[in-house]
Amino acid sequence: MKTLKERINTEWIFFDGALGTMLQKKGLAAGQCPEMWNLDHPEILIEIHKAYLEAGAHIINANTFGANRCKVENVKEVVTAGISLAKQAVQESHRQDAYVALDIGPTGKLLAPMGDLDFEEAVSIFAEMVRAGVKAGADLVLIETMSDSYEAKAALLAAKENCDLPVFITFIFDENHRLLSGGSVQSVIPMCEGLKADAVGINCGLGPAQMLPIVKEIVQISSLPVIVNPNAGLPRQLGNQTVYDLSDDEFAFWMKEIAALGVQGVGGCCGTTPSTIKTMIQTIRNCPFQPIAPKKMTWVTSYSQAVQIGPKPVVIGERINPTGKKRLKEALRNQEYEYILSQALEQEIAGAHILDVNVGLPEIDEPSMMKEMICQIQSVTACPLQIDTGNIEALEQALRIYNGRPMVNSVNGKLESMESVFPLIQKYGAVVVGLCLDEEGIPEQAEQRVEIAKKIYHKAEEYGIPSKDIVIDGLAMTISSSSQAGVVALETIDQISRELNGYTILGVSNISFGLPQREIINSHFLSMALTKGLSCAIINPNSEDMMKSYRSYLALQALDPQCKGYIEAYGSVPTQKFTDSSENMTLKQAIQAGLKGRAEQLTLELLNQKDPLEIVDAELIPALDQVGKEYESGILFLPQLLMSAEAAKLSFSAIKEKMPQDNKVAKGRIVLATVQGDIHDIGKNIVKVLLENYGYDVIDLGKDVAPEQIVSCVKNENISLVGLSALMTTTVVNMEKTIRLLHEQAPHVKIMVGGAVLNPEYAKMIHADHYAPDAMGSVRYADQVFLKGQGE
Amino acid sequence: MNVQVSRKEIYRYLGYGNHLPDAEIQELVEQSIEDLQPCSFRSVQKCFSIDVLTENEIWFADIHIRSKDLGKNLKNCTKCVCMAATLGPLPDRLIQRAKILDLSKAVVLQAVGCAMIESYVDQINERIRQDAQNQGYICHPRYSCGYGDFDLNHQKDFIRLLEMPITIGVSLTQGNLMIPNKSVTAVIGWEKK
Repeated sequence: MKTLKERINTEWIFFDGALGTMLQKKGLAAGQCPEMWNLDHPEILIEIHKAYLEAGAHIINANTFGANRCKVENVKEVVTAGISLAKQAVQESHRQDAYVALDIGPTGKLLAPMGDLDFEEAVSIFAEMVRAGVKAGADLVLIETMSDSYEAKAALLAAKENCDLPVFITFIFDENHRLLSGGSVQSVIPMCEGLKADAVGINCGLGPAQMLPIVKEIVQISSLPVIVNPNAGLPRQLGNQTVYDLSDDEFAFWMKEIAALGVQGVGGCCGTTPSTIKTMIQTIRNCPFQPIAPKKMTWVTSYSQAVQIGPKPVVIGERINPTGKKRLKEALRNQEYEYILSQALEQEIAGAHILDVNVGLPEIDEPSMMKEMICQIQSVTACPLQIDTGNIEALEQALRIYNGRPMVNSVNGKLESMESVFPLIQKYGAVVVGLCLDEEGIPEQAEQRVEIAKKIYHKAEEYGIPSKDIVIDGLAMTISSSSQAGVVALETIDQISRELNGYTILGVSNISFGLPQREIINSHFLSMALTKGLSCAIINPNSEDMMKSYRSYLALQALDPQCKGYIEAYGSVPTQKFTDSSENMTLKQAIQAGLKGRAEQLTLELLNQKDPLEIVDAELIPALDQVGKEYESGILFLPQLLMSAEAAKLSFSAIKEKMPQDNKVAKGRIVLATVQGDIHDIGKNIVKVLLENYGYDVIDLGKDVAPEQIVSCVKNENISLVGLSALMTTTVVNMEKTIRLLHEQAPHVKIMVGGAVLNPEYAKMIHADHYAPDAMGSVRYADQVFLKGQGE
Repeated sequence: MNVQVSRKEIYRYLGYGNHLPDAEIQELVEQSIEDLQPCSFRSVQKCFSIDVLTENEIWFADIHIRSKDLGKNLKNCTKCVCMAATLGPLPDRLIQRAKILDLSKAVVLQAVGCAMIESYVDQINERIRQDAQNQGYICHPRYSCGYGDFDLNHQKDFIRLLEMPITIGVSLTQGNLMIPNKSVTAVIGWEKK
């Protein structure tokens, strides 16, 4: 007999309908945990399962949807009972062609960084269910109603790591074709393929009519069998009951339309009953069945965006790579994540489609830094990422934690490289860059480079990685030392794309290393490579020249319909932010007016004439003082204060670049944190910016910080002032706890507190040394502590 | 979805009181309102009969609330509507980005988001009020957990009763904070006319 994996791509597989709806009909009240009925009312579950089997369903969902440890205490018992009841129903119905699914729904918690459920904890929650389900004899795992790609990834990993059963997964899309967390068909389906799901699809949320266009999209890109389990139409509130608007015949009518799109599995979700499923099966059973066709599409995705390699060249931002970048090195060493994140956002805004992330520095722990950076960058941008590392442990950790289907840079033709990288790609799914070099080094001829590419394709196939998921790097070496380097790289690109029909990539900027005015060469080399068929260009998207080449190429090559992108970028002259009167503005005025660009420009001009410290004393400090005073007296308000502060920050960083290293005298070092349990950090960030402007070094521990972490930082760094922030009454308890611990273990440290729920009395009650009513208040107190050496 | 936001409210949230911000800040506010237009406004509500109501205890569905303040708010009510609404993940994401690139923008987005969710909830509340009226009830002012002595822990009951993670994509952190941040839950009491 065929296995389920084989059957689902050779014949109709029918799924059952709603379980919750049926249980509600039998008396399950709103808010009650349906899974507990496995223990309390087993006979009712057997009855429902049997009714669906009688209707003709092949797949029976056990009543285990929410049987995870976030919702029930006795996971193992509830899952085991759920599976056993479904099996008993199958047995008593004498249906040898039916299967029992371990049904897995979402945890109901949001994963970090948006929420606070740790990714590995989510994997472990699902793994517990999978192990119990397998032991109880489930025939497959059905992960369903997933509204977040990250949680879906955790569930898929848990299933794949804990069983050999077929694993199906379906998502809940809304009428805008999006998941609640923003994911699209193009972003989630390739991720599931990469993680080796056995079938994908859609369930719940919508009726079959509304699902139809989404199903079309899925069938167009999926290489995996497609499952469709809609609700019985759209819900309507009738008194305390939710009812759905489609009759059995109407549901069957729409399901027949959906079946004709080329899906393989059909069933129902909320509001459907055994009679709905029976009518549907009778309608579809004799319709022609089409297996799903494999697609030659290559996707790199994030939680919500999808970039397709091939149809038009893709820009990969190169800026997050410490090689040759002093400031980034410093940021990585000091864990100044904000600087690194600003690099990510600037590149995205400049037009990068994918961001390369390389954090390799000899003195840092690369695996943990890579993991941290991937999480942090994904919390601010939906740009898919390219994990760029030669460290296998860093690669695995990054592949695991990444939300979506990433790009990996890189593997090469060395056996050792392929044997360590490919198993990871096989497990997690990714598009991988293959460098044309091997044990013999980098070949000097294009033909030899192409041979290495073939070797990489071939070896990848052994791991089930198709050549469409490999992007070959033609290797741009500098022409300043080898005059043939450009020619060979271009020929390699040409041959790979024309003869092997493969995808290609180049680290474009390398070509000009050692030459003056490198952007001239780089941008022309980019144009030449693009005309040879380059699929991905790793460049600096902040460089105007590079983006000009790129956008011109698209327009000239008919890849930019109506030159829309080109016109959007260059059609309007950038609006001059400064009026005529600002032409003669001083730096002090620019900062007071909060004009960031102008302040930076004026600082650079002044630096040619004046000593850095003189600029600080004569312009920056008086400007900030003025703004601070006006804020305190209610003439000026928070947004303006911040605009000035940010203008000053830019001016400061321009000055810092010019200052000799040892001349960096800070007034003092201050630790800031939002206390445990609290995730509001705008207030804390405002305090940080102002303290920095007033010359303090700030160690920012972030939000939701455990008391112990704050104490250990204070002790290790020998800190004398801590600022704590809390916005909620419920988290002030943790502030108090932190203060108590600080007083015990670091009695010398002064503590200032702030936040919406605090006032001077409350601050005193929890034994803080000072209550800062606003950001300026914390600056004043810091001055008191450090300059006058006294703090109340 | 058409949700009108009051500029005055936004300026008030930003600390301007009755002052009008200068042109540049006004422009930043307008820009932020536009940035937040694609928010995914979602809401869910369910009506329950109140089983027991005393001065400081309320029982409905399968939940039991001890709260004098809510008891007072629901005085004479026989039914209540539990509602939840959210702007979805967009405001949180935009604020997160602005915190890195432009803190003043973050502060403004924060204020606009607050004004927007309030006015969205007002809209839903108005629909519920009309609904109540049609059925012969008057609505009491909406009341949220975390107000007065209505324990924030009851946020868990809202999540469960309204199946918020699935219906509108809102879940709770360990500390009972809702994510996405720009989300509101409330009880609205119905009193027979």
